[in-house]
Amino acid sequence: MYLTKEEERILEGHEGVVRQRALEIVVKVGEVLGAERLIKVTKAHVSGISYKNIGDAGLELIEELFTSKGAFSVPTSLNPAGMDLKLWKFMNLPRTYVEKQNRIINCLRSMGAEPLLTCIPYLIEPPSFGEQVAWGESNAILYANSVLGARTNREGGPLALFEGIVGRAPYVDLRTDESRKPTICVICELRKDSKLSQLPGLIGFHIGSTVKSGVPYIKGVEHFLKDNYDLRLFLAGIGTAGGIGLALIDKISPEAPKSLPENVETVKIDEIELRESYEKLSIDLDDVDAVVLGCPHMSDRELHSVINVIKSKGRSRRRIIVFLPRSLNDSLSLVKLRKYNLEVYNDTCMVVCDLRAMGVERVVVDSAKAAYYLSSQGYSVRLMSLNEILRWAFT
Amino acid sequence: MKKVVKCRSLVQGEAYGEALVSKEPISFYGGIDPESGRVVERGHPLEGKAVSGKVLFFPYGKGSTVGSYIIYRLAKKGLAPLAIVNVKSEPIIVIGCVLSSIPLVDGFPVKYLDVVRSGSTVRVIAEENEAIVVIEV
Repeated sequence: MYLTKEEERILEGHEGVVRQRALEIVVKVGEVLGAERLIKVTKAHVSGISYKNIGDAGLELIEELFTSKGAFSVPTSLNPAGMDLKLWKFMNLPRTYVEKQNRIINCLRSMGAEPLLTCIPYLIEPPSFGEQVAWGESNAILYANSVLGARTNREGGPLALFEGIVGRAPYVDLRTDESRKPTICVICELRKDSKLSQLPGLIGFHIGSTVKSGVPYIKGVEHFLKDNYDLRLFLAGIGTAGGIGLALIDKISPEAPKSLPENVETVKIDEIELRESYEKLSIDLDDVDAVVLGCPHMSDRELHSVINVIKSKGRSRRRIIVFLPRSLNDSLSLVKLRKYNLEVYNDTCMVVCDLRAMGVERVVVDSAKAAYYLSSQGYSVRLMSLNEILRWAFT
Repeated sequence: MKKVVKCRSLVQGEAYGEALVSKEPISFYGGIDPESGRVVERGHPLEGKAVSGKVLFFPYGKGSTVGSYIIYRLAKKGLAPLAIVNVKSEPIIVIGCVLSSIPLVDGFPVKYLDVVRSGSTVRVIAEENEAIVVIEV
């Protein structure tokens, strides 16, 4: 691999042992992926922050990076942690869990990270068109590439951490022009009045599990994505099921081709296939412990539209739990909403916190990504659209 | 008799010891217990076997990227493999081995996963530009 003089200096250890080790990792991963050189990135987003996920192994590594004087060299944000940093007492977590989660956050913050603790950094600090970033978290990667036209590969938690430290990533795959062209065409033939069309996450999940990898050009879904929330649910669904980092969506993606690309395979998706994917993600539940929303995180505007519906109808009959970034809405100020049976948490989400400790086993969600990950953690999950959920919560 | 196989060197180092061979990919996160070094994935061909102190052969890594942290934790506890030999390494394994200074080579031909057997004595020499795996058969 070609390395600049500055990169060689780092590899020789002139800038400290952590930068040396971090660059060594980035170079080796680049070699394995077939990169010929590195490229500077302007920001990083690190996933794998929750103590529930990374455990003592992750904690020990992050503490060692910190004690060896490691620091981020580009603005670096963090994915959700395993608890709300202020309302953790409501989450019924063991003391050691809380203590270790705080150690993880404190180390990363001391290394210069901004603890946004959200999976939607793109709504808070969006990269611009063509900007090279180093992002972990599959839904954020898809949004950055497909909606904003920024460039990142699916970096994975530890890799984005080291790329944030050295400010560089292998120049390969979705970072290059050649790899951002469609490799397959997906035509959605779903009817607008279909009940499943109200589940953009399911459509995304189905496309992800059908296409699996490469760059799909997707046509016919724009009618089902009525707002930014739907678009996020859709992209999160794609990222859950496959290895896709860029989807070129007709009328949405800045890099989507103007006409059907030639010489690529075309697949069509219809109601029958979508129904099969739905059966994989959702089971019939007569009663549930909670409705859980915010995967990906909700925005403040979206939360307030939910709050307005709830307030207009009075106290919800079902427990409703919502996750969103603290920088958009401080959960402390929302504690009073508990009288409506509505709990709001920041800094964490349903996938990386411990819902079981909160007395939740059976859930209703509006997100295919949440349905997939919660089912795999042994929860009983029903998938419904947000409108349906908001009606059902009061019956 | 000795069989010498040329490979690509990814993390430099040398190791000599007993081989542990899997024809199935390995997920370090969830697949290996970081407290004991044993394979705990249900139905995995190496289920119940410890990777510690072995030269570990498998085609490639799979599963969560948290696997890199598990490799690092095994190394800190002295439970890591002596070296890892892959058909094709991917980022999870590469990151774990660089962090933990575990010699890593890839480009090991898949057909040789039948030649080397668990219990065979092997030597791995990974230098700057090339690596060899010597199998005593």
